[in-house]
Amino acid sequence: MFRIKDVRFFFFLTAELLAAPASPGAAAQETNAHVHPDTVLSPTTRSYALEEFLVTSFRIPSTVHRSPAPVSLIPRIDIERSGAASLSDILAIGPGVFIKDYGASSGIKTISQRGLGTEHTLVLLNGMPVNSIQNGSLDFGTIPAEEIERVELIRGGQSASFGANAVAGVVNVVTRSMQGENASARFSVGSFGERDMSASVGSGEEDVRWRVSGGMQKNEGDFPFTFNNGPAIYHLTRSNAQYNALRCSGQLDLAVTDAMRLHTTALYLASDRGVPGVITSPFSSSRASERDQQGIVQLGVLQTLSPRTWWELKLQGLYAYQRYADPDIVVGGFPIDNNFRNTEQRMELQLHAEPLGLARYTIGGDLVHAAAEGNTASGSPERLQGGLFVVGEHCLQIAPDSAALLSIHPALRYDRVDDSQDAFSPQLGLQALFLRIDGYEPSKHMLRIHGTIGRNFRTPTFNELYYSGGGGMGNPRLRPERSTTFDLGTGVSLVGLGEHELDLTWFGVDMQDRIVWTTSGTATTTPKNLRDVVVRGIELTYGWVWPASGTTLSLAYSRSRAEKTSLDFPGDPNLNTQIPYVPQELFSCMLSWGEDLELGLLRRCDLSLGVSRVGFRYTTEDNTSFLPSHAVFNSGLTLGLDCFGARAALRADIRNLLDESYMVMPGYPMPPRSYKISLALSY
Amino acid sequence: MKYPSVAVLSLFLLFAGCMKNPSEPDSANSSLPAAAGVYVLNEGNFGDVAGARLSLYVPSADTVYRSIVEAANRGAHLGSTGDDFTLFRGKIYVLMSGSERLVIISATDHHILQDAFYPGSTPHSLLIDSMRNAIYVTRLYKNSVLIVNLQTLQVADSVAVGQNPQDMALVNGKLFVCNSGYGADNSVTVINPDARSVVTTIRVGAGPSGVVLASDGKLWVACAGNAFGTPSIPGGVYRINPATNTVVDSIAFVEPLGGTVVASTDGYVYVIGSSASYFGGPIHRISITSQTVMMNFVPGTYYGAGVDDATGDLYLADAKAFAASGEVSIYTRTGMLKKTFVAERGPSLFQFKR
Repeated sequence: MFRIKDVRFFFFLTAELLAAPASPGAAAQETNAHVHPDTVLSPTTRSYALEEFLVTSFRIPSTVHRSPAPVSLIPRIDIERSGAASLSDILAIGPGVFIKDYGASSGIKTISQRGLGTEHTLVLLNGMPVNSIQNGSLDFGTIPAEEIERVELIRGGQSASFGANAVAGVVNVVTRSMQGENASARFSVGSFGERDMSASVGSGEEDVRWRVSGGMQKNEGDFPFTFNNGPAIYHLTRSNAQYNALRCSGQLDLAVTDAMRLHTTALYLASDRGVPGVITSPFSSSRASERDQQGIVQLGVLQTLSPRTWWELKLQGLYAYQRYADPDIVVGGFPIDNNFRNTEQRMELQLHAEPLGLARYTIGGDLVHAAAEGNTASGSPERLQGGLFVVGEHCLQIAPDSAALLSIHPALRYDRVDDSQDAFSPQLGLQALFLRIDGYEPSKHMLRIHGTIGRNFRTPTFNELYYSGGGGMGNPRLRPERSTTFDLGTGVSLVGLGEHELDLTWFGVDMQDRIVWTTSGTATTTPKNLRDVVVRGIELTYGWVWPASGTTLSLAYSRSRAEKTSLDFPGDPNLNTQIPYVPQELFSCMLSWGEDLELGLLRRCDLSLGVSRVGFRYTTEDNTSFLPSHAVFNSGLTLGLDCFGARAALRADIRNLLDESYMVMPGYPMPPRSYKISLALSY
Repeated sequence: MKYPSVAVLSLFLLFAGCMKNPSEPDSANSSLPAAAGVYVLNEGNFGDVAGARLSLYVPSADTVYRSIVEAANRGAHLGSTGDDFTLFRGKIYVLMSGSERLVIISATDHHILQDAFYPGSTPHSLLIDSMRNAIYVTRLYKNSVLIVNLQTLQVADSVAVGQNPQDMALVNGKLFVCNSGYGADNSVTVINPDARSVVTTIRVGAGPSGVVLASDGKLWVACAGNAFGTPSIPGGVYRINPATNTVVDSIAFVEPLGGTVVASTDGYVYVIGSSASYFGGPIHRISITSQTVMMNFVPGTYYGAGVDDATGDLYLADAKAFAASGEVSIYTRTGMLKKTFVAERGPSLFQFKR
């Protein structure tokens, strides 16, 4: 029988043991304190167990252990160890994440989780949604790893907290911040014409923290690959795969008063790339090009009213421009030259309170205005949408003198979208925590059982509603996709020869009215609410940190099946077949080792070895054709140096170590083994 | 060392337990008959490097042979997106728009005899002109027609036409090219192949996509209209007198058409209609003499059609929305279903080997 017994004891366990501060501002400070302050892998870098990091993307700031949903954090230190160049590289080592990579730097990189599409993952930048209103997606290859402090990956539906698109999961990207006086620069050169340079300056005092950075990236992308046609093998070179990118960012975190902080972030990304296109013959060529610009400005004010009450106002302005041109494709008398511009203004207000110390609540709302212009949309569509939410956490001690704790996480959200239908999104999360207590000194051995169930939705994008760019036509009568998601898992924390974290989660998605672009009539496509999809799967994560030896191991395995469970048209033979282009199996592993040294200028050495295995993907609806599985190994060596008063890090990366010839998407070859050398300096 | 051992063991078990790739479908046909049969060109999914496949149906044995090129050529593929093919003097000429490749195959043993790539050409349809030793290839996104040497397969010349040219017909030494514009063009360009120049342009309905010479000596042009115009533009069939390069008359439809037209020797022209549900539409039959239309002569959602002149049978291809292997149904001239067989991905065109 559940009883609320000793609330103060409970909060000792949860807040002190799990180190979850009351406010996100405190969370940010706490988290940053654990991360080394500059871009260089510090000589004093150390590893931290997962529970020390805080998940700031939740409406109620929480930790991995306190969340009913499965959460993975990829901190800065892991980003640096992996040698990741962009957000897509970072996420590739995350559990259950499949990056749909169209090859090399210029190829678009989108995400797939839990057997669903890229539009089913909500992407947050510092807690604010940044998915494109035009197509629901984001090119994860355009966000440089250099700008990312950490990535929080919440798996499973979260529409009750965040609204639309949070069906398969939420990715929260937290941008870099500054601790202490700092200036840094990084230069990289690599295979296939890769050049990368960046610099940042900043200051991180208690009351004022700021950082300004900029960088540029160039890549020729002219890598060799093989094209097979039966017994004939062609050795070719990718062309029109050049990628040029420019970025700049600024961040300011200011303590206005003791109780009020102001935080602002500005990020501008621009890229110009060739679109090499699909390889269908030894002579496939393309002159297509794409130009992207994205600007994001965020402003947040957070005021702490009492130790356990705060409010926060967040504003975001977003601008996105994309132009795709192909002089070789002439339709209606003109070469393809599609472009669109999106602007979006967003406001979020939330109030957090812990009444009587029994529970924690965050209530709030958001209001968004989005508009599009360009020659790919009918007219100049606009959208106004608003949402109201309440998210709670109730904590119960199951029995007196017990270390078994139960927390209930109810959430409810209502969304109104002026060009689509309204949505109610309830969710219930539960977590039971079992741990051994010796007086008031808890052991680090822990068992937890967690689960969520909730309703989620995805609002049709502007392309789906209003597209008119040739080859297709939007459908203004589309309904939102609705889905029920659940997950049930168990996690174990053990200490002995380092710290061990193991979690196994069973999950499911039941989606109705999935929007599918379908051919209709004269070879033109239009989206329709056609499909029901059922996904079932498991995710296994394991993390091992052995500080004494400087060794860490992270491992993730997922296996799922996403089936189409309704007919797309009368007589459709493909019922209960696996959704194409989505693997049923994913495996990633990263092993790293680091040691402080005193060898002349050499102060530290770090080694990392990662492998990412993607299972086969069917490429047809009837599951008769497939792309084979592939495993790609990456390795990196970093030497930390003392260099005339500056810290320096010299890094060498070998990507695709075993020179695997593979494609992630059909017709888009991936680069062979490649090398990259980086030098980072920090003062 | 208990926990690291567990970790290593877990790692091993995970790798060992990984799912294996499915087995490749066996496309080998032990022996292919040289008997008369019906070739079916299957387009394949867009972007599928090995998507274009050739099937052979032998009515006398009631047997279907699939992927016959792969079987006869040690797994070599035709390429991506088979958009047109023709049978000429014991050889099969197959044009792949995705691979921009022309492959010539022996119609006896199906070995690949010759091939050529035309990078950047965006080819769509082909037509052989034995008198001029030429192959004409429409360039869908380049608004022109390539003239290719029939023997060397080298490009000899190019003639500019209208927007998004598709089907062609050669009559009385003149080449008629349908400029579909996907509904934005409404013209048929007439080319003098000897002079390699445009003679005139004939105005027809929106989206001319298919053309056939019927038994009345007239060219029948299927104009698809534009299903996605605002408002949508209905289709039509136009009759052109190839001697005078003028439109004789036309038949208006209330809905857009699929753009495919075939003619039989027994007095009928068949056009594919459109359907809102998915790729393809029903078959409408038009009497060549009376020009009366029998709507939905064969209901369904057909993506391609062909007529066997020897029997009058109508071969209809259901592409199954490219979501599965397509089906071919054989109907008698009276509209009775004789036979259905499974082809490959996206069956669309037929050639009849006597």
